[in-house]
Amino acid sequence: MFGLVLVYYLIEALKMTPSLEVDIIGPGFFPKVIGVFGLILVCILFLSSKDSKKGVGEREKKISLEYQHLTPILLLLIYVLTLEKIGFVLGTFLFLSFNLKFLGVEKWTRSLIVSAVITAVIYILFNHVMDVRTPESDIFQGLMG
Amino acid sequence: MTIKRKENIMRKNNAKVLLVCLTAVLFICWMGPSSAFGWEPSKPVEIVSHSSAGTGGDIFIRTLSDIWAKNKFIPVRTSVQNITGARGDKARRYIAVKNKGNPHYLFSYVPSQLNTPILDKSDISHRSFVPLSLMAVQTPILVVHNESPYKSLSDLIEAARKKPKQITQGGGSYGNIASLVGKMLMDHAGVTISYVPYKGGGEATVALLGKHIDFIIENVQEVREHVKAGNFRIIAATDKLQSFPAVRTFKEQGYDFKTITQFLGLVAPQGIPAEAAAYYIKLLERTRGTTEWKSYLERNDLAEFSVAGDAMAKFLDDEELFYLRLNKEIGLLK
Amino acid sequence: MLGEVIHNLGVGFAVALLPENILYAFVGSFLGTIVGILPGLGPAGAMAMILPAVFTLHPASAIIMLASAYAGAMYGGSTTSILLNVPGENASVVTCLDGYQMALQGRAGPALCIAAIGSFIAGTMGIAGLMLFGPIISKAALSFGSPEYFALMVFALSAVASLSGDTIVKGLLAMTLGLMVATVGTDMTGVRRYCFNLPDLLDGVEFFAVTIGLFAISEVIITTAEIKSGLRKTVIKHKIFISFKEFLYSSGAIIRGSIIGFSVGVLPGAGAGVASFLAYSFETQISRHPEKFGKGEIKGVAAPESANNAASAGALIPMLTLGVPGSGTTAIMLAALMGLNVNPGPLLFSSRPDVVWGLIAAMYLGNIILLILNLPLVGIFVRILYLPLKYILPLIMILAVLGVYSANMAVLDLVFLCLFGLLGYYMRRNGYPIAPVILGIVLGGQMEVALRQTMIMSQGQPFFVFERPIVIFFLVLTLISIFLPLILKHFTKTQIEYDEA
Repeated sequence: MFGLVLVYYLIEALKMTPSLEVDIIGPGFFPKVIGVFGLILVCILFLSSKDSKKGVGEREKKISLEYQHLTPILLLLIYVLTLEKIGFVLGTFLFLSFNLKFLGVEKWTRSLIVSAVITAVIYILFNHVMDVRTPESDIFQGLMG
Repeated sequence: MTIKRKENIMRKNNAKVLLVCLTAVLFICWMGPSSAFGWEPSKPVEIVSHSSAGTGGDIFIRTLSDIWAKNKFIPVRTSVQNITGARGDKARRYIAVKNKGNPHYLFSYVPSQLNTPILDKSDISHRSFVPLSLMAVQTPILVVHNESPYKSLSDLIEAARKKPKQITQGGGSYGNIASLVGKMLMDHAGVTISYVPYKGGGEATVALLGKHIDFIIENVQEVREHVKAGNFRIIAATDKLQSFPAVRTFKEQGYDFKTITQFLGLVAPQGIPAEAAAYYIKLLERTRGTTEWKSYLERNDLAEFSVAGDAMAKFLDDEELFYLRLNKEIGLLK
Repeated sequence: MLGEVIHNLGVGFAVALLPENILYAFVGSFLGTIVGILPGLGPAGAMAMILPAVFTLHPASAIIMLASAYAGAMYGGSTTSILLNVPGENASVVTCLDGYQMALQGRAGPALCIAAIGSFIAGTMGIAGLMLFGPIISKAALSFGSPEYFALMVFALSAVASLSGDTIVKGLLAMTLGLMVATVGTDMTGVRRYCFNLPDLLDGVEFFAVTIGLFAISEVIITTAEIKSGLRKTVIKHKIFISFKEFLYSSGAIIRGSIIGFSVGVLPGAGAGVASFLAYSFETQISRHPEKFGKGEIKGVAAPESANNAASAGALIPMLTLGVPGSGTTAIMLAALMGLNVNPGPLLFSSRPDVVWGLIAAMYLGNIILLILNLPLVGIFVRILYLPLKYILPLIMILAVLGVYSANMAVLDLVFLCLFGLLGYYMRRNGYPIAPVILGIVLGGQMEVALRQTMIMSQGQPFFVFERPIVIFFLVLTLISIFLPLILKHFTKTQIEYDEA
């Protein structure tokens, strides 16, 4: 599958032409080399596929993939995509709540309270103490000044 | 009614009054001091440079920031941010797009910031900014290593003629002013010089120190320490230099071509209120009169340049046309 | 000559040991450590934060505070790498490899301790080097031009072998991925590559998004899986302090790491990241048990940690002797110095000895302070590991998001964070080592730039590069590093066969 990506990469690389006259190697050279190199590796790998389980760590061997394991990441994706629209405070709060519930905090109330506290702490810490900007939505900008 | 109930009601009333006052206060604070004196920055102002610390454009805004703080010209704190990357595009986007309409952001504007969008055919041109003022003009100089055999411009050109493509000029990304001046010199003299692009002028300076390239074209401020220390030799300048009067200009050595005005200016993101722009233009006007400004100009071999507001917009429009033609002439733009 | 140095140092210490300066050093170290702990906010972030406050101080005090913050941030970064598999900055990536494994085995304490101790020793050695050989080294460093850089990068890439363990092919493939990611963006001549009309990609893929995604987020997925499958129930008891034996065992690694780190740090442009990879790789190659690396080998923490602190000291040399910033963080220091009207350049040593020597003395001081601050903190940090995972995991994710967002304020980066997290998970499940990807990204860009510059300089003459001794030196080193393990393996194999006979 990676091979397909490499092929696309190579095609793009071939389209590149140098902009500088004295540039012996244009912008396409390096990508081409990488692309070819990668394809060779993929072939090698493909041909010696008997060893495909080689290199997997101990921990990784034991877990079996179930889709529910990907829930935190899915939540992360949603969190990340909506962050700029609903604002950091609300987003983090929801994200935390759902995650905590999923990961095993039994009572909903507990999850919500902890989320609220952590969100508040992080917000204050970052915005005021350390001057790091958090993603804010427009509504919030107005409210928070 | 029992006394307790009366007290309760009073307490509730008090609370209500307090709440109303609090809300009013918060509301007023939120509205911000829309003062009668005309616009003034109410939050810390951030000035952005597309190049890293130590370069001409960067020193320029740091100097401004210092002058404003020392003379208390501005009621808030100013800070400088360097946003490098993508030949300045990152910085331009940060100002023109992310902070559109925000009068608390300023941007240092130099010719490369005008030319690079042209070369990149970018959607962000100088029209994405509100021009405030052009304050000074830098003097590019051609510098070689002290141990090189070139004592004058003709030496260098002759060497380039004998060994085409083997004399190297180092500099920042191709398309910046140093490379353009180099190209113009090359075309004018009829020789071929190889341009080696580095991440920034600073890296090229280091490369010159290590004698990996033959020459660089830079602004005086960025290499003066090395000239003083005896590492570098200036063999030509676009204009007479106050601190190095012995250096001959390009013209004096027989190479006369129109060089580009290396301006140093300040702009703001488009969409800021007109009063804000007026405020800054006035601020810069005041800055011109200070002794610190004059000594900065002198120390760095800069020439006074005073173009502001609409005049600046016109100037930039004209420069843009000039760059377009130039780029086409020298083959950078097809 | 030495007498002069000692005299100057004395002057420096007189400045550094002023009570208020000691206080600034403390505050700087502390703040630096805290900021360094946050993913994505490394030394550059710490210093940028302190910068405004610093302008009101005397130049020497300002530098002292900045330098302490710098050192503190380096240490903070390694803390999260060890405890949570979250690299605090690019120099800490390598520390994750063995450090996190050690934490999983209950040896987080020793890992943190050796990081602190190694950093201290390396930092001190680095500063001694700076002090004694600074000007000479900087002259030597100037002889490094594009061809030499290219050769160095090629050599560094050979480190991929050490990061891949048994699966060289997969490791190389991972590295290829890293190289590909490195080509995204605007190249050195202004051509846009693989940008797909996304303005956020014009400067390339955000490094931290990839790094944190591959390491931390994939770890989150795996840990989630472990929790849900019930594999991760018991809380492991952690050792807090390091045993003297372990320290002695690692001491060689520390010294070697320091030397490598310092040498690499001196070169403008090559920084702590490259240094840590090289140190780690070197350790694996000279070790008698290379298979232990990646599974909790303490030398695997000692070497890179020492290297990155020594590299920080080395990076100061070009800044102080030439006024050239060697990395993003030194650029900020440069800016600070200029703002204080101290002009770094070749004349700095002679014109402002109080600043230079004050800085040197302060860094010694800062190192000591950090050691004192951090060793007790190890106990506290280890406690973090006792917190229930269900709280830690979401917290890691939030911190990761904040850290990555603070780099460019771009949601695209955050999306990449998730994508690379998934990719990392996929890679780990299928036996692809993830460290080579980082190696590819870190080195890819620089290597290509160096190569193209070299080509322009030489205009295609093939023997140009071979006339330069340093280039040959590195190429030879590369060959050695590729073939040495094979040769050694061959010899040990024959030895075993002989023994069995």
